[in-house]
Amino acid sequence: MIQFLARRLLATVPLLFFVSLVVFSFVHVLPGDPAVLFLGEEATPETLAKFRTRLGFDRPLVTQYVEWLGRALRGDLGRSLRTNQPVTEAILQRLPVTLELLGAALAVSLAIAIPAGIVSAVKRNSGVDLASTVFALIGFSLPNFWLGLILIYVFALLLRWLPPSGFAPLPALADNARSLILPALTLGTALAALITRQLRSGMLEVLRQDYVRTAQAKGLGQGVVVAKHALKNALIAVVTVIGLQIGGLLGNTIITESLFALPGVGRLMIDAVFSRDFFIVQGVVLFLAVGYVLSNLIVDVLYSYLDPRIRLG
Amino acid sequence: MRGWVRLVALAIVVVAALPAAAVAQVRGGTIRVGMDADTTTMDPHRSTAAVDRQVYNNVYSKLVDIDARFGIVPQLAQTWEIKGGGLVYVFKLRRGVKFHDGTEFNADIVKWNFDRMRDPELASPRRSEIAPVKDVKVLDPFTVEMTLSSPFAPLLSVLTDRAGMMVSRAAVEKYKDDFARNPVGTGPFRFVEWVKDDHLTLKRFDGYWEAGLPHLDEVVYRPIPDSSVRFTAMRTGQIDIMHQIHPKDVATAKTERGMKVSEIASLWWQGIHLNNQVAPFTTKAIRQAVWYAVDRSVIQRVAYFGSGAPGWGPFPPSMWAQDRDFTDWKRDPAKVKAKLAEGGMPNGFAFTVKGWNQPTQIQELQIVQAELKEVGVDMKIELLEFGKLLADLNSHNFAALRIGWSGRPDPDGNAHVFLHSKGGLNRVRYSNPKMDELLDQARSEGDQAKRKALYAQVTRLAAEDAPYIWLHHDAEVKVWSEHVKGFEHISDGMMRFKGVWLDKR
Repeated sequence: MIQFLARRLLATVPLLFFVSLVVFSFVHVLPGDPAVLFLGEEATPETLAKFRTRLGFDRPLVTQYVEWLGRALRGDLGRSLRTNQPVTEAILQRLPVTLELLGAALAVSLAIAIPAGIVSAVKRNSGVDLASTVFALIGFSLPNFWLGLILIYVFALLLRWLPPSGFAPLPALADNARSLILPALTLGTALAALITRQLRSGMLEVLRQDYVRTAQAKGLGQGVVVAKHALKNALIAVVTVIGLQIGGLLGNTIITESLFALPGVGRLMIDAVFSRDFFIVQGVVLFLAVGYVLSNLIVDVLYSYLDPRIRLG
Repeated sequence: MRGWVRLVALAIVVVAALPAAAVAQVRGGTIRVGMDADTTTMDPHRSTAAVDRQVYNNVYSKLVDIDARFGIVPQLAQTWEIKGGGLVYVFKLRRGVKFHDGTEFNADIVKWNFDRMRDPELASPRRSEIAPVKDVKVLDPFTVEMTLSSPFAPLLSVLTDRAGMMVSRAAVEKYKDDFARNPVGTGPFRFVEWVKDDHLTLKRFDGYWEAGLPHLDEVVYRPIPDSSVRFTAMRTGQIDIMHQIHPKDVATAKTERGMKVSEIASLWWQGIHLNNQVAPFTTKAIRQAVWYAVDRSVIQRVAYFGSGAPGWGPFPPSMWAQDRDFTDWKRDPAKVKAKLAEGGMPNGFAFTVKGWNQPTQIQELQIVQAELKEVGVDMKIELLEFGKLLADLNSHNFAALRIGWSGRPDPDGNAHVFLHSKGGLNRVRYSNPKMDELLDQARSEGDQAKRKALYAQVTRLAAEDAPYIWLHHDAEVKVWSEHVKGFEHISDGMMRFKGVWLDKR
């Protein structure tokens, strides 16, 4: 196991190196001059040149890349061009918000999908199955931002149950939860729909297996059979889906955080892209890439727990 | 039951009828401000984002300010004198003004601020704004003399914005580049905390130089980028005043209970840049054909939901320089036909306009597209992200490009940079010696009536040459809760909170 982890972690090094290269080149081939965005349209060519020199943008790209990478390896991702805040500090400040949002969205989607998936598999072709299929179809097709606006309209404006925007940090638990319900629903619905479908087909597959029939023949109750024997095996497909969707979920946090005015990593990044705050963009993307690689590692480890036949090593 | 209702109603009437003065100017409380974007930096000498100025106006005092009628009023400069044919400005400074860090404001500080803005190493965006200032001299501890390289009538109005904001020298020397997150000024509120993209908090500065002000304890800015969500936050009482309401929501806001809406003319203009060095816009008649093809009233009605005013020149209705007698901007298909023939393209032509990928601006372009279609001109719309649009604008990489200008209090700032052949924003490469002469004359003329006459000629010549197709002047709209009192709405759109109070906390 430890050997497996070490090997996997080692394998991520060239991957991250490649990611850093791609990120760096993308940011620098983006049309739009950061100097103009920072100094305004009326800046003279001389002022623009000074600005580029000060930040080292006038040197060859290779030099810039090597220097940036060298510092990044020592944990220094540079400073924001606008506020002079260290990039790592900016990311770490925002991270709790995004992690909480991701966690809540995942919780919401599992809370919806696991019962829905099980019931629609066990009671195949019933009314419940049809309802869950319809939910899955709608949930998956709705654009994120639109769903968010509808939720805000209904729960914040009409019913006044929840705040329309903003983030209440911990330890104010009740306020914190209230501020995350709508964003978590917005972010988690599509995933819930996807997991429901995966779990349903996984369960149908498993329920046809011999060991399930054996378990039923032993006289085990339906609940035990479904929960202990069938669900655990059907979850492998679900874990795979979640692992694959983490990237998409991270991408959607940009929309969700902007819509609900949450101060997370996604919003940090989109603002930085629009203002060409290069060091922030590079830092965030690198950071997200590391997060994505690690989350997939966790998924792999989970496999061996769910199905001991899968041996890592 | 009925009796109770009557009694309560009577009580309400009685309470409502109490004289307003009885509740006037309550001290204390926190105002929550809904913004469209977060502040980018707290250093006014480094800022380029319009949104930054909102917070600055409460943290920094300026040498001078503007009032609701664009009059220049004293702030840190108590009086001023213009001498030497508009070449020398002598400012008498207010005494006893302290920065939030306790240091004293005086003439040395003013000189140091100007030196900082003019330092090429800082690469300050203010540098070009105060370019006409050749020299700043300290005459005595509270008198400053500025010498200009040529007469520049807009100087005072430039000093009502970021260039006139005085920052603490001690704080800049202490924090260096981190001053961007640790601002120190002489304004009514001092900076407390900034959690980026979440909130920025200011607290009352007890040592503020205007006696008895401010009334509020605290100002909290909350950036809520989506306009519908921002408006919902306003309707549900999450915020007390909001910046940038979408035109479609103005009608709803007006019917909402407990909400005040104020709509005044802004300093903005919106329009299409026609590249005067790219065919077919090298031909004046072709530019004029586009000028007469658009119906600006339709744009105002449809894209802006009736708010603001049709735009046909660089000066919005809020400015004294606007020539209200000018009418040659109405849609006229017959003239379009004649102009197309005159330009050698009687059957029309095709071109591409670049624009920002933003709903109102897209709609505006679609209206123009439909109107041009009717006269045989095929306009293709290419939508870009804002940074890319700016890059294309600055590198003259367009035939036509749609963009707006947030405007400046002095008309010079809305016209000279765009219409003068050497103007810093003349990306269309328009050049007419007569126009240059008019603009230079208007800039160095001190008398407003004479300047107005010159700007009327500028408007007419700009319409005749049509290097830009002006389309619209946005309305400046603010929405606030009825509990917010004493808010003065000024065309520059800045929310100055020193005189504001809340009648309910």
